[in-house]
Amino acid sequence: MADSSKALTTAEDREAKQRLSEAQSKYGRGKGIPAKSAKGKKLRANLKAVESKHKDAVLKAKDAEILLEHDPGFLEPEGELERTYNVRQDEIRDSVGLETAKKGFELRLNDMGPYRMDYTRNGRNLLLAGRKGHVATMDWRDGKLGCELQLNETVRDARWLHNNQFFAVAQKKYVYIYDHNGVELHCLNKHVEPLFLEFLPYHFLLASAQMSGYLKYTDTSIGQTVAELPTRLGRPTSLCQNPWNAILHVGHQNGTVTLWSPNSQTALVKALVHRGPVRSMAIDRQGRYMVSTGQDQKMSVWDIRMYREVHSYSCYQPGASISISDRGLTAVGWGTQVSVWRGLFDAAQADQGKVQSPYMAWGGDGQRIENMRWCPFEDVLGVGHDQGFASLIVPGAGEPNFDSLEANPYENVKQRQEHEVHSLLTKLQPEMISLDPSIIGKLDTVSDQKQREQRNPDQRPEDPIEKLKNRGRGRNSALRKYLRKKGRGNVIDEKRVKAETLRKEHAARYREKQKQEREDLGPALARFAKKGP
Amino acid sequence: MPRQQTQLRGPKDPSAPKPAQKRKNGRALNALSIAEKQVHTKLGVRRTRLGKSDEPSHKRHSARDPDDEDDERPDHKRRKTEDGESVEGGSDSEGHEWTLGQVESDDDEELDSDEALGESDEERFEAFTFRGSSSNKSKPKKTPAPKKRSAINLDEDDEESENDEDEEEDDDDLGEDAIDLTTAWDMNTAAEEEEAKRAAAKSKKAAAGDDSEEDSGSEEDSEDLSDDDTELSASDDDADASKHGLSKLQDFVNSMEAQRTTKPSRKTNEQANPTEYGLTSTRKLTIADLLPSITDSRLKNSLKHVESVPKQTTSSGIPGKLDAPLPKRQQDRLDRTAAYDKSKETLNRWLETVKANREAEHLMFPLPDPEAEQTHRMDVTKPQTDLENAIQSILVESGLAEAEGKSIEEQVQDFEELQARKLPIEEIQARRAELRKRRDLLFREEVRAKRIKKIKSKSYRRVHRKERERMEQQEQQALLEAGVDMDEEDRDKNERMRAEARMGSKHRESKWAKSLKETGRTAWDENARNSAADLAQREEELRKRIEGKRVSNGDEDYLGSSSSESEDEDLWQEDGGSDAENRKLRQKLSALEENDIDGEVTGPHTNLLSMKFMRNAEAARKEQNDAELRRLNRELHGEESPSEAESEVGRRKFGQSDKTNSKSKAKPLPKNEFEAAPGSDGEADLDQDIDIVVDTPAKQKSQASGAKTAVRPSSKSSGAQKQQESSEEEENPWLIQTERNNRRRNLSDGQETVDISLDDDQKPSDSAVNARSKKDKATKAPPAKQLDADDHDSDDDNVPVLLKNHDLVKRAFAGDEVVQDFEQEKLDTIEDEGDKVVDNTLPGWGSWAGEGISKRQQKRQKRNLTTVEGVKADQRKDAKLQRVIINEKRVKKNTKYMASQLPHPFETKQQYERSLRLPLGPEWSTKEIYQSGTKPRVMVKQGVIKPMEKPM
Repeated sequence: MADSSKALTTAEDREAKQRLSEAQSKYGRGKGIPAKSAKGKKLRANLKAVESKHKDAVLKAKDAEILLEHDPGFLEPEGELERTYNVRQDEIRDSVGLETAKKGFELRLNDMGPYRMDYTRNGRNLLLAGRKGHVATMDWRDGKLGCELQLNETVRDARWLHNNQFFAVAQKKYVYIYDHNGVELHCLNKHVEPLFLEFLPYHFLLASAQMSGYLKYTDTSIGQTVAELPTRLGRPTSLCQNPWNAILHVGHQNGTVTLWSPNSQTALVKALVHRGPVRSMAIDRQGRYMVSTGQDQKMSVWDIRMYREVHSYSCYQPGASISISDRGLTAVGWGTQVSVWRGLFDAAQADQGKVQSPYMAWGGDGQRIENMRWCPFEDVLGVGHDQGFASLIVPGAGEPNFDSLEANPYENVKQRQEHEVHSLLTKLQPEMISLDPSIIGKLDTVSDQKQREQRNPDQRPEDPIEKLKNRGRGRNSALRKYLRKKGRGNVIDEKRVKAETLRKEHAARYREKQKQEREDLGPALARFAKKGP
Repeated sequence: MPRQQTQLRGPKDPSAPKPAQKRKNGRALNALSIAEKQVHTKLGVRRTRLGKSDEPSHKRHSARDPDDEDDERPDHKRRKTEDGESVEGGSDSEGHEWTLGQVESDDDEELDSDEALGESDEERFEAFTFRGSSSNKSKPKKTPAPKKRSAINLDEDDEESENDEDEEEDDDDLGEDAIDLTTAWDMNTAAEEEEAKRAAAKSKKAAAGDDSEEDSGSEEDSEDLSDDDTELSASDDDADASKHGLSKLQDFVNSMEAQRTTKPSRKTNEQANPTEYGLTSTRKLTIADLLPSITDSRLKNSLKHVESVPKQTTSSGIPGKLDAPLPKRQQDRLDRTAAYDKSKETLNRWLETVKANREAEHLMFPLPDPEAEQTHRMDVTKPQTDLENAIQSILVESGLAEAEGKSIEEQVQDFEELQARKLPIEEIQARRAELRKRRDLLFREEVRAKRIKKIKSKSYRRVHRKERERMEQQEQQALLEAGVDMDEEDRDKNERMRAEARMGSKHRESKWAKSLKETGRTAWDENARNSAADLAQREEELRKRIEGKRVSNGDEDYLGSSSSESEDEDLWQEDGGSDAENRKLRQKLSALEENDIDGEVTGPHTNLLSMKFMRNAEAARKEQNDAELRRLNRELHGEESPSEAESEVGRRKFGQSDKTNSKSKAKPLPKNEFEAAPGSDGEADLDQDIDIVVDTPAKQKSQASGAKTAVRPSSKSSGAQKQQESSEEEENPWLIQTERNNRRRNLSDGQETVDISLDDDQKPSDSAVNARSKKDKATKAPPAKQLDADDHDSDDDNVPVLLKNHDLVKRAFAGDEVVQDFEQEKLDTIEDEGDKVVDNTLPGWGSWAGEGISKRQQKRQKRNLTTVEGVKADQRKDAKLQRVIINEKRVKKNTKYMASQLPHPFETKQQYERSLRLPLGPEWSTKEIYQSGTKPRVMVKQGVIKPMEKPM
């Protein structure tokens, strides 16, 4: 009986351990540090408490998974010969529920040129901007038109701001901001001849890449220009943001991609990604991978934590637009076609070969793809092309469970207002943008070192020989090297004397050791003792 | 006992050196006065000297511990042996000794003899005559005045002792003391004389000597101590010597007189009518007297009670032997310490609570009372408002609630409780025991049931199943034998059930079957083939069965043998032994035959079965059965033909493994139908070789060498072209980069190319070789490449287009020196961010400057160079990344949000940053965590908060 109970407890323990490790791998925030490492008693207790809190939080988060009511899924082929990319949109529409089927539709807008489009953060509203000046917003699920503008001016890009109340349009000369009724609110005349727009929702920063090669940031909450950064690489060919750290990636004519934050006048990182101009880029939600297409007919997958290309795919035509969904589906628009890739990042992560075939495909009927975006929280891909707009159903694309604190697809007016206030209160400052977003609150080692030095100026500088003392043996030991490099001259000073004595000591020690070894080996084998260093 | 020791300690004490002197003092008052003066002066010193021993002496004084011995001076030990007797003997006449001891111990301390011998003492001792000629003894007799004085002194004592502690006032008090002592000495001398007259000569004198020693010793003592230690020790020795002599003599006398009577006893004798031998006639020898002589520890132990009893009696018998009350000051101090200890103890009780509260993460005031929580109980809610009243009444009316807020169960319980009160306690206990027992049993049953339920082992199940089946079979047999045929329906049902069991995919796709398929074991393993054939046969039968045909009877057995759950397992077992199945069948058949042979009718329907028509029917049936059995036997033993035929079928079936193989070979083909790109990737690179030959300068030698190593093995096949190829590759940075960065990937790429080239008639060989040879070919001749593309063309339309495109693209971008530009830029940045040398030379500083200075002189000027350290090229973050430049400059704006120095409690950066790692916001954690993370440490409820009454 006792044994069985014991066995049970151990089984339970094992289960608990496994559960914990699972939770840690999913929700953990790095390895804990052993409390024993702390000398102070109080600190030790504090660290222990912190660790237990971590553990608690992780387990609770794991437990809270039960609240996620929707499961993600993909199109699954029944046999080996079946290909998911052969499935056409009308087939999908026939086989899914009525409400879902309604989400796949097309808008024919033949006159106003290629369309660019954007969804709000909660996926409720759609913004369409035709090259020739036609701008429209709509609640796309209900098919309700919000506003429609004829700007009679070239429109190069359009973006929603933090919610569905405002949007920015990059027009021929400047960037303009309109409200949901289509009333022009602001003209940002610092943004001259903007080509691309990008909005950083947590920082309330509207960024535009200009024809002149400048990258400009404007804080939309206070209306001030935050930064004007010269890329010095000519007219940019693409722009995208890393949602993880709010760094902007700018693609250039010469195939380089530069990474920018408003805090530095020079690019943080410059990478040569393509041989031709970079046509478009996209970054996955976790900020791990960048997928870019270039004029050189390549699609390359970069690990932007290590700045290393993981895979490079070839396209039939240069990819004009690219977009990554919340669940990691990558849509590439090339020519008149769209292909959706699945598992690009998994393959990269698992170090496998490339993905062999796309997950889904669309197009080929003469509509040149201009722009594509995934609708958040929906299995919908919006495609803006030169003859209007198409909404495609791509199973498994969207995040099935939304966090209403973050973005609520079903929010009402009150909630929207509340959320706006909240997000303004928790707005992040532009200075917080950095390649590693977790630097906030971390220790600035440089200034810490400086402070330490100031605190006790009497501290003697480190003795180089002291450092050499116990490092390295053999022919090229640090000490020998030191003697070789510095001990050559005819000057005999304290340091050199020290080093030489040390050297002698080493030699003596070694001899001793060898002797010992010889003795250990005995008279017969002594000759095999290891010879000098 | 200890008391006596202390008392005896006195005489041997350092006072020793002075006996002769003292006597002189005693005789001559002048000398005394001189001595007095001396004492007077020295007493002060003594105080300071003995200040250290103040406390212990007090302790001894007040507590009268047995520990007193601890305070013994070293000298004492020397004497102990001699004094042993006297110590032991003290039990008889403790009283005297005690007082004496008192005096002496006081001597040691501040108290003088007068103090020690208080009023009460004197009264008490009036009747006694002391052995020693000490003044104290004589006091009561001779001088009533000193007594009074001493009494007065006693009153003053408190002050004195108090003052004693304050060293400043010492002198005055001592002065008084000294005066007392002088008188005492007076008396001493007188007493001595008297004693000398009265008492027996030698011994008494010796004793007197001792005592007087003591008395005067109190002063001399101190003198010595203060004066000179060496002197003291010397004099000590003297005293020892003299004493030794005396005591020895005494001892001798004692031993002569009374066997082992001790000093004290002798003393008492003295007080009474001392005989010559020191024994009084009235005095009896008691056990107690003998006790000290016992050396045997065991004996001592056994006599312990004897020892203890008389002691008690004596102590209780003499009620007057109380201590003199301590001086108030001392008493107060003791009280204070005691009180302090007490209060400390009470406060210590709070320690835990305070500590817990300090360490608690959250505190809520008023603090919850743990006891209150325990006793807290939900009360029956009573309706308070009208509405509630109304609802309650309705509920009561409708019988949903009870009138007094108690449910029926509760009432019953109450009633039971009441009843139980009336019962005797034994019965209640018995009932309870009974109940407990039952509960226990129930519980055990439950546990057992659970356990049984839990057992999932296959063997367990199998065993039970077999048993069950056997039972069933027996039943059936019985039924059959009884001639009761099973219902048609029943049989149908059974068969259907079995068929269904067989129909499931489980059977076909069992682990075993799969493994057979996978390993292709049927090809070489006879057993496996047989069992596979068996399986196939069964399937066949099943199909037939499903179709509604009747299959031979044998299958019933087979079904029975391996029906239900663990198909796989059985199969596994079978596949080990070849014809295990057959064996089983045989066994069963033989069993059946046996049954038939000794098939005497037993069972409930014997009468019925023994009737004739039944028998007939039975016989017929038996015949049928026998025929069936025979047939089966024949099948099993003799002709395996049908099974072989089946196995033929099985072979056909399981030849599928070959099929799958072929399939897997064929598989890669369709893979490429859409995505030819990856395959062409490697080739594209190769194409490039040809295309970009011209424009790349031979700049990147180092890279080229790297590339060379990578390429070398591949070029082996085409020996002559090797050089050319490598040179070509040298010149193509793109290829180099891809090779470097994705060396790992190369292999897979190669494989992918294989996929494409599978259709190529030219290279049907192994993958890697294929790819490489292709590479070579590509590098060799572009037209051949073109051909290659054409080949693809025939296969798939897309591929060649793509390849062509790539070709075109490469040509299109051939002129861009993108890569070189980038490299150059990187070099520039490295230089820019690396170490910099700053020239701080001031012309004219330390040398001449200006016009007319010769070149030589200009050169001679010392250069003042300083290097500003930057990031070294090999320590850059992008040192190993060829296509990336990472900015190493510090972003100063970010530092605004960083901690400028390590915050206090933390020791390392890691600790600090770890403590920050857990986010507080509701967005990143569950509500519970968020709330607990943001809960204030101390929460105070409104209202008066009483302090804690007692520790928790």
